[in-house]
Amino acid sequence: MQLEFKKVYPVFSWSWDIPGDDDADREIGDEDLCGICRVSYNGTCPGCKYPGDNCPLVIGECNHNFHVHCIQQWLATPTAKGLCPMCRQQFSLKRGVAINEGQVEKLANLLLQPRPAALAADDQDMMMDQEFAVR
Amino acid sequence: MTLSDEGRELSEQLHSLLHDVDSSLEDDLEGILTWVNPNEPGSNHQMRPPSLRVKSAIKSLLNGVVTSESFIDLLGKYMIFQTRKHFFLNYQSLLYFKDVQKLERYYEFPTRYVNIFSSEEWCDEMSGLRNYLIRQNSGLKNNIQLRLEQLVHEDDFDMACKIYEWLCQAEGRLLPEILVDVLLSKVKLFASKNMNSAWTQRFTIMEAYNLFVTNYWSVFCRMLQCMEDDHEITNEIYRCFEEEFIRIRTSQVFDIFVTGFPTTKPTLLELRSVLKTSVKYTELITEFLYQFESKMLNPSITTAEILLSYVRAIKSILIVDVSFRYFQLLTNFVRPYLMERHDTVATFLYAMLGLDASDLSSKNSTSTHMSIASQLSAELRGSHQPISSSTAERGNLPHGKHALSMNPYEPAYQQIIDYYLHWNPEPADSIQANNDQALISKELFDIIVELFDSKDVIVREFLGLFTRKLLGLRGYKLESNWVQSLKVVKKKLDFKTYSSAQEFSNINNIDVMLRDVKHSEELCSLMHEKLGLSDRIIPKFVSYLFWNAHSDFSALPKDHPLPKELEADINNYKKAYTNVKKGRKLRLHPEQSIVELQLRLADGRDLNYEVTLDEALVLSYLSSNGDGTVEEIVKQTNLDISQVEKSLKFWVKSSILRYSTETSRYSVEERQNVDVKHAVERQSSSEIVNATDSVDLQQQQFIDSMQKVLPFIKGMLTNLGSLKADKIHSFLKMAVPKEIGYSATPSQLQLYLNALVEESKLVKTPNGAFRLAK
Ligand SMILES: [Zn+2]
Ligand SMILES: [Zn+2]
Ligand SMILES: [Zn+2]
Repeated sequence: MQLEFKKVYPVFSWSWDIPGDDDADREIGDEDLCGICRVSYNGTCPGCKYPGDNCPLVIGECNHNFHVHCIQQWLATPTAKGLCPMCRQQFSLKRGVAINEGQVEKLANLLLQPRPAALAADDQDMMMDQEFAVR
Repeated sequence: MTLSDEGRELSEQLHSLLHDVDSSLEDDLEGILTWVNPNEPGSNHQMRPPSLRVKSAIKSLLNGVVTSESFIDLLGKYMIFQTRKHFFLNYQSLLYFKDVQKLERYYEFPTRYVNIFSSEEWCDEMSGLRNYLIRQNSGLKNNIQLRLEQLVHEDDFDMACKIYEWLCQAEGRLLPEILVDVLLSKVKLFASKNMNSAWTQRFTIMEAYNLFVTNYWSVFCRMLQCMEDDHEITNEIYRCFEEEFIRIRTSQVFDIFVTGFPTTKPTLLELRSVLKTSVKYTELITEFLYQFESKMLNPSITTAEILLSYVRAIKSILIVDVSFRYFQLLTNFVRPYLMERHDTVATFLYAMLGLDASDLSSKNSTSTHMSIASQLSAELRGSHQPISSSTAERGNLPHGKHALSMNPYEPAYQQIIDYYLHWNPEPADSIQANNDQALISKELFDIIVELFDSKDVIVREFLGLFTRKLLGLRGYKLESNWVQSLKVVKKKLDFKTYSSAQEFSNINNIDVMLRDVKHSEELCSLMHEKLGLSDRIIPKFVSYLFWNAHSDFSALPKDHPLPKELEADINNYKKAYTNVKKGRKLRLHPEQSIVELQLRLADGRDLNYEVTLDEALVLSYLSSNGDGTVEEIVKQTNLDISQVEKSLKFWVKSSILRYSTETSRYSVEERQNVDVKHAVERQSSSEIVNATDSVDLQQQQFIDSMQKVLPFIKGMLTNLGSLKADKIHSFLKMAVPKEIGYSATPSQLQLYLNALVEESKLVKTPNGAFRLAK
C-alpha cells in the first residue's frame, strides 16, 4: 500500500525553551512556575491576558526564571535592590540564551518601566474581529 | 268502600236511572260502560273507533230525549272514576315520556266519542294526574328531563317544547331552573363541537357564542318566556362559553403547549384573555405538568425532545401568563430530570446558539435525533419572531417598537442575535397592553439557563465544544455562526459578574485561543510565502495552557517517529517557528492533528481518508512494516495503547486492515475480495454452530432474541448515561412493545449485558452500572 499525506493540519503547542531543562527528565508541573506570581512560565503574569509575545519569560544569570513583567515590577520596588527574589544575587539576564535575545537590548528600559497597568490596556477583543468571520 | 264497590255502585246508579226512563236501553248502557272503561283492556275501545252498535248506543243515550243532566253527570263520574282507578294501578310502571303520552291518549280516546267533558274539565283532570305522577314517580321525572336534554342536544325543539309544556303543566308552574340546566348543557355540547380543534383561531369564544345565539336563542327565549334582549341570561351564556373554553383547553394543554405549538398561538392568546383567576392558572399548569410527565419524562425520550417540548412549553406559558409566575414551576419540575442526563448542556448549547447540527454529530445520532435537534434549534432561534403578525387577524395588536422587522439584506440569524442582545424588558403594564413580542422573547435564554445548576456548567461545556471546533478547523476561518455564538455566550454569560478567578480565566481562554488561531494564520502565510515551506501543511500553534478544556495537552511529551518525508516537513516548521519566535519550541500533538490521506492499494483502489494523525501513523507503520502486533505498534509509534487500539479498530472497520486471530497480528488488506471474505465468515460461523452443544445453542438463541431489545438499551443509555442492570430490566419491561417482546429474567439480562461488555459495546463502571462504550 502506498500512503500519501495530501494535507496535514498539525496542532503544535509551544513552550518556552529553557536550556538544560530537558523534557525527558523533568516531571510534569514541577519547577515551571514563575517564582514571583506562581503561574506557569507558559501562562501569563497576573496583569496580562495573552501569553507569549505579550508576556515573555526571562532567564536570570542565576538560572531563576520569571515573567518579564513580574521581575520588572519586583525590581522597581525599593526593597528589591536589584536582587533576584529567589536567591538574593544581583539579577541580570543570562547571556547567550534564545529566550533572552529579544529582551537583552531592552534590558535597561525593562528594568525601569512598570508593567502594564491593567488588563484593559491590551484587551483587544478577538470576537469582534470581523476578519475572523467567513460566510 | 273498596274501589270495585265504588265502581259497581256508580254502574248500578246509572242503570237504575236509565231503568226509570227506558229499561230497554240498559244493554246499550252496559256496552258503553264497557267500551269507555280503561280497566277492561280486553273488551274496551282498544283505541279503535266504536262499532256501529256502540255508536248508536252513544247516540241514543247521550243525544236522546231520555238523558237527563244527572245521567250525564253520573256517566262523567263513572269515566273519571275508572280512569283514576286505572291510573293508580299503573302509574308506577311508567318509565318514559312516551309511555305517559300513550297512556294519556288511551284515557282521552273514548272522550272523543262520549263527548261529555268540556276541554277544561278534562285538562284539569289530566293535570291532577300529571301532578301526582311527577311527584310520586321520580324515576319517570328524571327520564323526562333527560329526554328533554337529549332532544335539545339533537335540535328537536318541537318535541322539546312539548315535553317542557307537559312538565310545566304537571308542576303547575314554569320551570326555568330545568330549562337553564338544559340550556347550559347545550352550551357545553355546542362549545366542544365548535372549539375542540379550533387552535388556530383567535376568537373562538365569541364566534361560538354568536353562532349559538343565532341558532338557538329565540327558541330558548320562547321556552323561558323571556325577552330576547335579556342580558342577564345572555351574559351568563357567554360566561359559560368562557368556562367551557378554559375547561377544554386545559384538557388539551399538552397539545396546545407543545405538540401543536406554534400554530396554537392564537388559541393561547385567547386563553390568556380569559384566564382571570390564579385557580384557573394553577389548574392549567398542574394539568400540563401531569401530561408533560407522562408523555416526556421517560427514558425512551431523547434529551433533545424533552428540551424541545420544554422550550415550547415555556414559550406557551409565557404567552398565557403575563405575570411570569408560572414558568418557574415547569423549570423546577423538569430540572432534576434533565440534570440526570449527561448530554443536556451540549444539546441545549447547540440549539440555543444555532450551531450547525452536523457539528454535534456524534456516532450514535440518528436522523430523527438530528431532526429534533434542528427543530429545537429553530424553536430557540425563532423565538424572536413577532407572533402578533401571523395570528392577530383582527389587527388590534400593532407591532411594538421592539418587534423585530427583518431586513432582507442582512442574514437572518445576525438580525436575530442583534435583536436578542439589545432587547430590554418593557414595564409590565405596556406588555399587557399590546406587545406579544415582548412577552415571548422575555429573556428566554435566561429562563432556560436557570435549568442548569450554574452558568459555569454552560461555560465549561461551551468551552469544550469550542475547543474541539477550533482544533478541528481545516484552515483558520471560523464560521460566522460560531462567531455569533461567542458573542451571545460572552454577553449572556457575562464574565464580569463572575466572582471566581477560575470562571474568569475560563472565559479569557476563548480570547487566547482565538488569538492563537489568528497568529497561526499569520505565521502560516509567512512560512508558506516568505520561507517557502511545504504548503500541504497548515499548522496551528496553540498556547496549550489555555486549550485545556476537553483536550489533553498536558501529557508527558513524547516523540513520535513520523514517515520520512513528513518528518522533514514538520521539522522545517519547528525550526522556522523557533527562528521567528525566539526562545520557544514546539511539540506536535498527533491526536489533535488532522490529516488527509490518500491510500493506493495493491488491487488498484485509490481511497481518501480524513483522520487524526495518530490514526495515520498507525497505518503508516503497518504499511511500511507489513504487519505488527498491538505491542509492536505501541512501541514503534510511541503512541498510547488506547490511541493505537482506537486507530486499529477504525482501520479494521474501514476494511483497510485485517486482524489475524492466529498470529494476533494486524496487516494491510491489500485486496478487496468480498466473496472470499464472506465465504470464510460463513464457514467459521457454521463451524461454531456445529461445535456447540445444546446448552450453548439455547444461550445463542437467547442472545439473538435480545438483539431486538438492544436498541432500547442503547437508547436508554444514550439518554441516561449509565444504569444498573435492575434499572435496565425494569425500564425494558415498561418500554419494549409487546410485538417485540422482552421476557428475560434479571439474571438473564445481566448475562446479556456482560456479553455486550465482552463485545466492547458496553462498559461496566466500578459501581456495577453499565454505559455505552465510547
Ligand atoms: Zn510571573
Ligand atoms: Zn505580563
Ligand atoms: Zn536567582
